[in-house]
Parts: sequence; C-alpha cells; structure tokens
Amino acid sequence: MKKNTDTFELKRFGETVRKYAGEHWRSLAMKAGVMTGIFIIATIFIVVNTRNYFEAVNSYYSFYGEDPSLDIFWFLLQAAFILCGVISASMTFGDLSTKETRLNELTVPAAQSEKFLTRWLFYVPGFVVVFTVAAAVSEMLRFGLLSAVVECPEKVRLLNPAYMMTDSDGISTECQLTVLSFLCLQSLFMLGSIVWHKASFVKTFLALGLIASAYFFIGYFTVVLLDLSPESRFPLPKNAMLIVAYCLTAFIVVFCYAVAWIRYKEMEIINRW
Amino acid sequence: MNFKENNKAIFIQIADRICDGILGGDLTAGQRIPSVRVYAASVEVNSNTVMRAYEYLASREILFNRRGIGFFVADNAREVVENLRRTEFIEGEMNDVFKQLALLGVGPDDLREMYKSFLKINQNI
Amino acid sequence: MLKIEKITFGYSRRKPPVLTDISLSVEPGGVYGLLGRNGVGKSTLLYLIAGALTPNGGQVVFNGENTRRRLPSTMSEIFLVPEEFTLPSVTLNEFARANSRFYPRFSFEDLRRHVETFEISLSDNLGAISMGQKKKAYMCFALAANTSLLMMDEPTNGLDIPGKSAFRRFIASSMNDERAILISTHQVRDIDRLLDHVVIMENNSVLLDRSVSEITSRLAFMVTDSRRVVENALFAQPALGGNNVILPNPGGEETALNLESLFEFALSKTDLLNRQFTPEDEKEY
Repeated sequence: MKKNTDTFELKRFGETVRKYAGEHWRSLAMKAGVMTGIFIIATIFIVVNTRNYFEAVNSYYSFYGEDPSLDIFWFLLQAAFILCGVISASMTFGDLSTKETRLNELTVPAAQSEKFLTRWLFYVPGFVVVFTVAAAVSEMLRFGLLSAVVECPEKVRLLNPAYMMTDSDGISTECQLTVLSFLCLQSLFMLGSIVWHKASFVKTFLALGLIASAYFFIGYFTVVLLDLSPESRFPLPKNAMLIVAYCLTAFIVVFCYAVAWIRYKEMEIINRW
Repeated sequence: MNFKENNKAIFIQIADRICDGILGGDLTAGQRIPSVRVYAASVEVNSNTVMRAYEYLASREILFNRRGIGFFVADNAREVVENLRRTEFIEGEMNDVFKQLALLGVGPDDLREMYKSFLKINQNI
Repeated sequence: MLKIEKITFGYSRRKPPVLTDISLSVEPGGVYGLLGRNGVGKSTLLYLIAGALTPNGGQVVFNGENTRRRLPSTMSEIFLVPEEFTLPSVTLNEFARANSRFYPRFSFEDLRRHVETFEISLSDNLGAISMGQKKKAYMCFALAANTSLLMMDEPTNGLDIPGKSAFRRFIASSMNDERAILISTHQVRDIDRLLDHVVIMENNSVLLDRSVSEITSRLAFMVTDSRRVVENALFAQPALGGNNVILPNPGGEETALNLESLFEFALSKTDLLNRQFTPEDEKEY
C-alpha cells in the first residue's frame, strides 16, 4: 500500500486537476462560450462599422498598413485580454463561499499547494489558452467576413501578431505594458477573489478604484502643496519608465500571490478575517 | 416484587439465541456458525459483542473455534445446552416459583398431582 | 491513534467558547459514540479533528501529526461525512473514480458491496437524487475509502427506517482492528447497540468518556416497578412498564446498556455517574 507524500507531487496534482475539471466543466465551458460569443458579436460589429472605410483607403494611412479595421480590432483585443483576464482571475476562488464547499476543499487529501495551483491553472493559464482560441476564431471571422463583403478584398489584411507586437527596438512598449498590466491586475483580482468570495469582481474593482483615487488625490495635493512646476514632473526617458513598470509589476504580482497563498493555507470553514 | 425485565447483556441474548437454535435443531453438531461480522450485520450489533458471545459459548464448550476458519457447533452441544438451561431454570425461575408456592401454602403433594395432570393433558411436549 | 489534547475553541471572541479543554483518545478497533444535545459542539469537534478549524488552545494529533497541518498523509487516513454536504452532478461511479485516488486503500469491491446494502446504484446522478440517497451514496464512498478513522456527523438524520437499519448493518460489518469509527449523534436510539465506547458532551466539556464494557461492568440497567428499587437507584426515569433505573452493579451479571438512561443520567448527575468508576479506596474521600 503506497503512502501519500506530503510535498507537491505531480501525479497527485494531475488528480486534483482532473477532479476539478470533472466537477466544474459545465461552468467553465459556459464561461468560455460566453466570452467567445461576445468576441464574435464584437467582431461582427467591427466588420459592419469599418467596411465602408476600405473605399477611402488611399487617403487614410493606418500605422499597421492599409486595413483600417485591424487598428480597432487589435486595440480591442488587448483591452479584452486585460478585462477578461481580470474577470477570470476574480473567479478563481469564487466557489469557496459556503461552509460545505470549503469543508470539501479542505479535506481532500492532496497538498494545499496542489489544490491552489489547480485553481490557478484553470483561471490564469487556462484563461490565456481559451482567450487565444477565441481571438483566433474572431480574427478568422473578421478576415472572412470582410473579404466577402468589401469591394476591394485584397486590402483586407490578416492579423500578424508578431508584426503587431514588435517595433524598431524589439517588442513594442505598448505590448510590454499590456502584458505587465495584465499580470499586475490579474494578480490583484485573484487576491480579491480569495478575500471576497461573493461579488468578487465588483468589490475588487471598487477597492482598486478607491486605492487608485487615493493615490491620485494624494499625488495631486502633494504637487499643489509643494508647488511643483510642470517641468519637474516625470522627465524620465522611456527605458527608465519601463524599468519602473517591471519592478512595480514584479512587486505587485509577488505580493498578491504570496498573500493569496497564505490566505488559502489558513482557510477554515468559517470566515475569520 | 420482581423485576419486569431481566435486561440481559446483549452478548448473553445472542448466546441464548444460538442455544435456542441448537436446541431447536436448526444448528446441528459440527455445523459452522456465521462469521462474527456477518452475524453482527444481521442483528445490527457491534461485532465485538458478537465475538464476546461466541467466546462465551466456546468457554462453555457449546461452540469450538478453528482458527482461521470460524466457530463450529460442538458435538455434544445439545446436551451441554440442555444441562445449562436446566440448571439455570432450577436455580432461577423454579426457585422463584417454589418461593411463591411456599408463600401461598401449596404443598409438595398438591404440586405433584398438578404436574401429573398437566403432563397427561399436554402429551405432545 | 487519535489524541485530542486539551482543545479549546470558540467561533468568535465575543461569544463564549464552544469547547473548553477537551481531551479524548480514540484507538482503532472500535465504534465510538459522541453523544450530546443539539448545538453542544459535536460537529465543531469533528471539524477540529479533520483540521478544518484551528483550535484556540491545545491540538489534535493523529498518528503523531497535528491534523491542522493538513498533510495529505494524515488526511488520506481520515474521512468525515458531515451532516450537510454538497456533491457534484456526476454519477457515483464517476465521483468514485475521480476521488478514490486520494485514498490509498480505496476499494471498488467494497463500494459495490455497500451500494448493494443500501439499495442504491453506481449510476445514480448525485445531483439528482434525494438528500437521504445522497447520504447513503456518500457513506458508501466513505466506507469504501477504508480510512483508519471514519467520522460521521448525524449519519441517521434523513434516513428512513430501512435506511437506518441498513446503516447499522453496514457499520457492524465494517468494523475491524485497524479502523476506528466515530459517530456523532443526538439520536441515541439509532446506534446504541453499535458502540464500544461512549463519549457524552454537554456545556463545552466532556461529561463521560468510558468504554461500554466498563460501563456495563459497573452499572446495571433495569426496568422495574418496585418503589424501593427506584428510591435506592442511582438514577430513575419513568418509562413504559415501570421505570428505567440505573443501579450499581456489584460484580454480578451484566445487563444490556440503556444508552438513553445513561445519557440522561450523565446530564443530570454527572458527578454521581463518574464516581461509579473510581476505585473503591478513592471513594472514601
């Protein structure tokens, strides 16, 4: 008879993933379906609204080439990545809101790290995979629809992510900032999910809004009180700003994951704090 | 006054049931008794209690234990049970009856006559 | 195997503690009854044993490990069937396949046997059956997990009469030397013949913690209508056919334990009850 080990075990981790999938596949599938559905509707909306711009293409210079719908599509895609990522993260621990579900969760004989990672797996990397699939489906729809309805279909360009994400210096700043804000916000909302089990998204959003507003107002009044002139505010070059962004993200991500992990470990069937 | 109910220990009640089975012929010499757990499940009782009943009967040589196989009815179990029951009856109920008879003034000769006519009427026992 | 060492626990600081300095010990090979009225803290104690709550003081040690650490090796040997629980909407068979890997001694053979005893089916969808059937299904899984400690909180609640009978049969046939079964209930009559050990709780403490053989060797339980006996009894309670009395048993024949009377005795005259178990010379003082 084999005895259970107490440290992280890959095989047992596979079992916890399998168990979670078996119990939640319906709700996961529904969420994936809803997200894909919204993407499809948004894509159709973009197609409908930009098809006329293909005629005036000679006088319209788009940064990404001659296909004007691509701008909007790419921008919305990045925004959706962050928004949906954040919604997904806020559902990571959402079902642990009742005594019964917590009791179940706590007494499964797997390492707590395995159980924590199982949830993370579905709502973070799992989200990225599903998002990519939904984005690919939407892109093919956009390309296909536009090619069919526009009078000069040769102008319709297929999205080339590698091209979109790079510029003269390598990976574009915009892209890097998008990924960093995704990591940052996603970890904050994941932490929110374990702190508030119900209406997690709304509560986290409001909390962050409050913190951001406080930060803004404190900053604003500091400037006014100290009478700082406009010139002395952020003359930092782009590279320094990026470094600050990386450090800030790293700090926030590490902090959020550490606190979420501690809260998970200390979880009880009743809510103490 | 008498106690209404003896409320015998469960293991004794189980032992009595098995003895009843032996006297009634349902359990014959050499026959295997159900295993402790099976019997416990059938009467919905803790298996340690059943084990105690079996060991109690084994100590009185009504059952014998073959390790690894189970408990069996001893060859002369029926005689042993009859003797035990007889002794129990004489020392217990019969004693109480005699007390009552003495109190009520029924003499030995009256008793003898009553028993004789009882046997004549109830010949099939 | 399981040692509960001076556990104190309260749900919040403002309210009085639910459990104060409770110590108990559970050894394999027996069925333990944890008896007490509703709200006395029996479920809380089970949650503490399972590591789902953190004691304010003291600790629960299972095979040398503190259960609050929630180590998989500890948890795979403990199974708790709570009074209320939710099950996913999958069949019992699927549920067993997904969850059995966490219990090294799980046996599908046993699962099939138990399912037959309870007259349910492996292909029942756990989300669609009645509460009573869910309980039966979960209990089948629990027993098939073959953990060395099995705890059940109010297992007979919600079971019909044949269900209660099946439950007793199933506990009686599942006892063995390597496992301990701990049943917490206020329905004393449902389990009285199954117990090896009785623990009675009230007022955040343990009133009685004795084996059934100790109890029946020191106390005699009878039914009588003799006034003299009733007056001299340690405890008496009116019942059909007279009175249920508890008398000291001076080494005579053992009687069957009347768990209801014992329970009432423990609640009303705790000290008198416990004094019956102290050796003669101590009683002098």
